[in-house]
This record gives sequence, structure tokens and C-alpha cells, in this order.
Amino acid sequence: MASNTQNGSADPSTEISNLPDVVGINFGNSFASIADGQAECIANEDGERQIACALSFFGEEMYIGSPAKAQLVKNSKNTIVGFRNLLGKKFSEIPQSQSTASAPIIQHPEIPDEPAYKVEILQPAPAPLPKSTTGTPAASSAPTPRSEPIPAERVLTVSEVTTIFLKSLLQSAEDFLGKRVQGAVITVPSVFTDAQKHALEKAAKDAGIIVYQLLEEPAAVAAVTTADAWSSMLPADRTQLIVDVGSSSLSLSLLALREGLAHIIASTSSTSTGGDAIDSKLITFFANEFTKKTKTPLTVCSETPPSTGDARAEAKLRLAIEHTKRTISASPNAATCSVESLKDGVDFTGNINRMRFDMLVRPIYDSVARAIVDLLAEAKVDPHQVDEIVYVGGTTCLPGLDEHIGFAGGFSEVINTPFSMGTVIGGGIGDPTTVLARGCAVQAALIASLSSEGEDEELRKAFEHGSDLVDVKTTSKTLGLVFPDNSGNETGGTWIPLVLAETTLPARRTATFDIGLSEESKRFAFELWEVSEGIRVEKISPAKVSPSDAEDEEEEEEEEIKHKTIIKETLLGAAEAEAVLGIKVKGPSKDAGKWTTTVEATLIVAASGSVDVSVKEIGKDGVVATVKVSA
Amino acid sequence: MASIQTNVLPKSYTLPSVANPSIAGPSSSRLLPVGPAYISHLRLTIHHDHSFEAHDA
Ligand SMILES: Nc1ncnc2c1ncn2[C@@H]1O[C@H](COP(=O)(O)OP(=O)(O)OP(=O)(O)O)[C@@H](O)[C@H]1O
Ligand SMILES: [Mg+2]
Repeated sequence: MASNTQNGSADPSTEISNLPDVVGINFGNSFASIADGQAECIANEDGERQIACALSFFGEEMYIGSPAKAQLVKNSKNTIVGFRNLLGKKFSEIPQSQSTASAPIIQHPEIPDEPAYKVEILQPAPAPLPKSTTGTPAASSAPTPRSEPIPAERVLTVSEVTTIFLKSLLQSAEDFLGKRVQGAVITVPSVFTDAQKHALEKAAKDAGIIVYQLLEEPAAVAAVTTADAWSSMLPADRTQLIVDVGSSSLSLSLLALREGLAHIIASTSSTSTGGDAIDSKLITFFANEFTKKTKTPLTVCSETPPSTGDARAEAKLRLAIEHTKRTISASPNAATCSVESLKDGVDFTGNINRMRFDMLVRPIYDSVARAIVDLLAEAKVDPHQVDEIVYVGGTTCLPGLDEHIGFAGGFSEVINTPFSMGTVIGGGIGDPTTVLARGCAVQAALIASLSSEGEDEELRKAFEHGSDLVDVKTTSKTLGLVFPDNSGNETGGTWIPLVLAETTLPARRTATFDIGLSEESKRFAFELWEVSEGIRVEKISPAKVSPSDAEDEEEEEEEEIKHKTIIKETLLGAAEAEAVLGIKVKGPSKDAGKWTTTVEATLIVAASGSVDVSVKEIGKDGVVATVKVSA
Repeated sequence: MASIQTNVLPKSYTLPSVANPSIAGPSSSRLLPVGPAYISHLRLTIHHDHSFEAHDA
């Protein structure tokens, strides 16, 4: 297709310039990440870019991130994980049977129906009275013996935990950037209720973060995938499936991307599929290996671990396989899992290759693929109409999952995924673990570029949640022009799509192309049609197999090939004109002797639904043919 | 030469008559409030009363 112009292009002032004093924060339930507009996420002081959402209290110390997660082995009851999903919920709304592998959720002793955590800490003993320094020779001041810290209990609400955690993220960002962070955009799951969004916003504010916007996860993805850097190969008008597989949840969103504007066509999410389920398979596999190799019995992933030794061994394996999974994702070689003193003082080293791994976790891959098939069926979108799959969430780093989705989902062989585009490896732009934070960073820079006065002030408000400016009308069907000819094809001529279904109104699209004329007549005509896009399935029986190809004989099945089709539905108008700027093609080209004229076609659909089409010869005094359709 | 070229109009072609048409009723959607195109859309709808001419001016 020739050039399409955007719905008006953004002013240069909204272009993303280098504004590293704003950041994007992806706040997951199990991992968080921070980005400042660079390709990689910011590493915290432990060198982690995927920062574990964990908080642990041990004696007088408080740990955050992976050091806190490590406390799940021996100090689980003082280690808090999984708090993000509880934000904004009442105690009575939280199922009580949750795992005891970490600090349990209790009813807050004072605030009614408020979930909280109770941890044991050591409080520093009250400091001795400060000595007067005047007249005391400094050198002789011996350290005062410190009295023993006092054991105490500390109750923290979910909000307080979140605030502590977010504050540490802010600190990591400021340490990294070497300056104060002026503002941030933070992800929020699409399933969060208003109460949960408010709770998150408040916890972030309490952490000292200036929140520009809470961005729903699919929107954070769109911020990245509608930017030029994502891919110059993909059309600006396309259907995109976002597959987000984290640790405990699966979210799917089908997006209509139209010249940089995006909306969700269909979405679904569930909490039964994710990395945790993969972990359980892998832990069981390694536990069996351990028992086989060392004859030490080990029971994992059971509701009630037979002993503390088993529970600790499981916790150790859970930590260790994080590395195993990342190796499986990053390289085709076998990945190892090593744990010192796994159980009864016996060490363990095991390994697994990609093929074995993919077989082991196949049921999880299957449930992701099934959820995709169901979503598309419900949305009445054929997998072949999906132009692109984008992966989000740590678990989608696994190449085996991409392969499985590709064929089990029924997608076209040439579907674009970050794997097929080669952008996952080495922290490329398609890296599923950084997309959300980067999307937030891009958006933060965009909002920061709006001034806080006049027109821009009003625009800024549009990013607050609850703004009704996001409510729009979109086209239900695709609009385009047919230039009739004798070709006998399905549209009866050359079909030039201009405004696709699901395009936000008002919409304007332009295309430039050549119209064929003849020596005798310079007349041309076009029809404005509303069409629907379909898929035609062609069945091909395989070519007769010659006896020498005996191995291939099993593949005798009929093959299905899908073709995209255009079904003309409503004729909206037609126009004709005599071209005045036609030229005869000269020279050695195969078109030599043909007559053509170059035109620019513009189609505008107003918010009301009225349509204006003009087809104009490019050049001085060119003829214009127009069609108007009232709403 | 542009990448698309239409064929010559058949001599016998006559313009079809069109009976009082309009496009299929637009659907309602919620835009994801993100990106420069969203800001352009807001400028168009808030400040230029949905008009591309006014927006371009
Ligand atoms: N490179 C990798 N290969 C395979 N799995 C990975 C990789 N990196 C992270 N993971 C896994 O991804 C999961 C975490 O994903 P993510 O950070 O997207 O979750 P989350 O958004 O915090 O949680 P959720 O969406 O489930 O609420 C964990 O199970 C982790 O082990
Ligand atoms: Mg997630």
C-alpha cells in the first residue's frame, strides 16, 4: 500500500527526547522492573533487573528483592511475597487457604477488615542517654557497650509493604540515575478494580513517587509496539495478540492497532497458568533425580510436606530453578540445577535439556495455547487474521512456548513474533521481561513533555484514570475503493483498503497510486465499498507420493491453506472523471506505451459516521472526483 | 511509479446507482490512553472539534 498518513502527527514537542529524570515501573506480583527509556532495565544494588517483589525481616535487618526471597528457605514466616495482588482488597475478600510458605495474611489487630502481615523483628534497644561532648577529649571516648536488641512484633498492612517496596525501587532508580526522579508511570493489571488502582496510587505516593499515570499492562505494551523502533516491517494498521505469562497469571489481550492508536478487541485472564506451575514440574523432576542418584527420599509439591527438611529442600529448589529456567530460555544447551546440601546434607547437581524441558512442561504450554484458541474463537477472529504476537512476562522467554503457540494456536506460518523477528535474544527490544517497564518509561517521557499550562494541562488530565476521553467510536467494517476492471476477481477490480474496521473516529487515511488509462479514453471511475474480511480455506490433497518417498507416507492428510478474502457488503457511492494529467509510459519498461495518472485518494470518516472521499490527480489543475456519504 | 496500479476501466462500465446508503453503525471502544497518536487524537477532538481541517491549520 502507498503512504497512509496518521490521524494528524504529533507535534515535535511530544517527541520522546532524553528525559532520564522520569522512569517507568513495572510492578508485577512476583517481579518488578524499572526503566529510564534505555533498552535495558535499571539494575538495583544487587545487580538485579528483574527485582523480586519480596520483603523479609531477620533480626534487626530488612531485606528487599532476591536477598529477601532467599529468606524463604529458613525464615519464611517473616518473609512477605505476593502482596501486590492484595492491594486494595479487604481481609474478608482474600481466600484464607493461601500457602504458608511465606508470612501469612492476618486480620489487622486495629483496622477493621484490613489484611496485614505480622513479622518478628528485633528492635534496637533504647539508646543510652547521649553524653555531652563538650570538654571530652575525643580520643578517649570508648564505644558505649550496646545493650541487647529487644524481640518485638511488627504488623504491616499490604499498603505499607507496598510503599516500602516501591520506595526501594525509587531509591534504586535515583542511585542509578544520580538524580531525583521527577515522575513515574506504573503498570497496573487490567483486572485491578478501581479500589485496587486507588490503593496502588496511594501506596506509590506514600513512597514519594509522583505518579503521572497508572498504565494498564496492555497499554504499556502498546506504548512500545506502536513506536517506530519496534519494527519497520509491520504495518501501522494491524491486529496484535499480547500473551503475558508471569508467575501466577496468564493474560491475553487482542489489540487493534490503527496508526498508533490502540484499543482492546477482546481479553481474558486466569490465575491457574504461569511460571509457578512450570516450577512445580521442574522441582518434581529434579527431586526425583535427587532421590534416584542419592537414595535420599525427598517429597516436594505436596500440600503437607512430610518434614521441615522436605519443605526447605523444596524452597531451595524453587530458588535454584530460577537460574535453570533462564538458561533454558537463553541457550539450546542443557541447563543445570545445583543446590548445596539439598536435604540431609546431601548436595545435588542435575541437568535438563530443552527437549526434555519442553516435554515436561507441555501441559502448561497447552493451557496457554488453549486459552488463546478460546479467546480468538470468542472474538470471532481467525488466527490467520492476527498479524503479530507480542510476549510479555518472564515465562514467555521460553522459546518452546513460542513454538507451541505457533502451531497449536493455528497461526499463519509467517506470523510475526519477537522470536521470528529475532528481538528476544540478548535483551533486544522484544525482551518480554523489559517491555512493560520500557513502555511506562516512554509514556512517562511523553507526559513529561506536555507543559502544565493551557491546552496541555487539559491533555494531562486525560491520563488520569477514569477520564472519559478514552471512550470513542470506531468503524465496524473496512472502507475502501474498488477501481472496476474486467479481471473477474472477487472484488471486480483493484481493491484499495483505506480505513480498516476498528479504526477510531474521526479517521483520515490517504493513499497514493496510479490509475490505468487508455490511449482513446482518459475516463476513470471508482466505487466506495464497505467490506468484511474473511478467510477462505483451500484443501489441497498432497501430490502422489512416489514409492521412493516411502518415509513421507504418513503425511497423506489433506493440507489446508488459508487465504484472506474480501467480501463486498455495501456500496456507499461511486464517482467518475476524465483524467487531465495522464501520461504515456516511455522507455524500455514492460509498461511502456501504457497510459496512467497518479492520484491521491483521501477518505475521511467523521465522528458522526459521515464519509468524504476525494480522488485527486496529483499536479496542477488535476481533476478531482468525490463521493459524500451522510451519517 | 507508485506501487499500486489500477487496470483500465472497461468501456461498458456505467456508474451504479446507490440507494441512500450509510456506513454500518460505529461501535464503541475504549482507547488505551498511551502514545503520541493518542495525544494527537485528543488535540483533534478537544481543541479542534473533531475537524481535520482545523487541526491541520
Ligand atoms: N528467562 C526466563 N525464562 C523462563 N522463565 C522466566 C525467565 N525470567 C523469568 N521467568 C519466570 O517468569 C515468572 C515471572 O514473570 P513476571 O515477572 O512477568 O511475573 P509477574 O508479572 O510479577 O507476576 P504475575 O503476572 O504472575 O502476577 C517467574 O515464574 C520467573 O521464574
Ligand atoms: Mg505480570
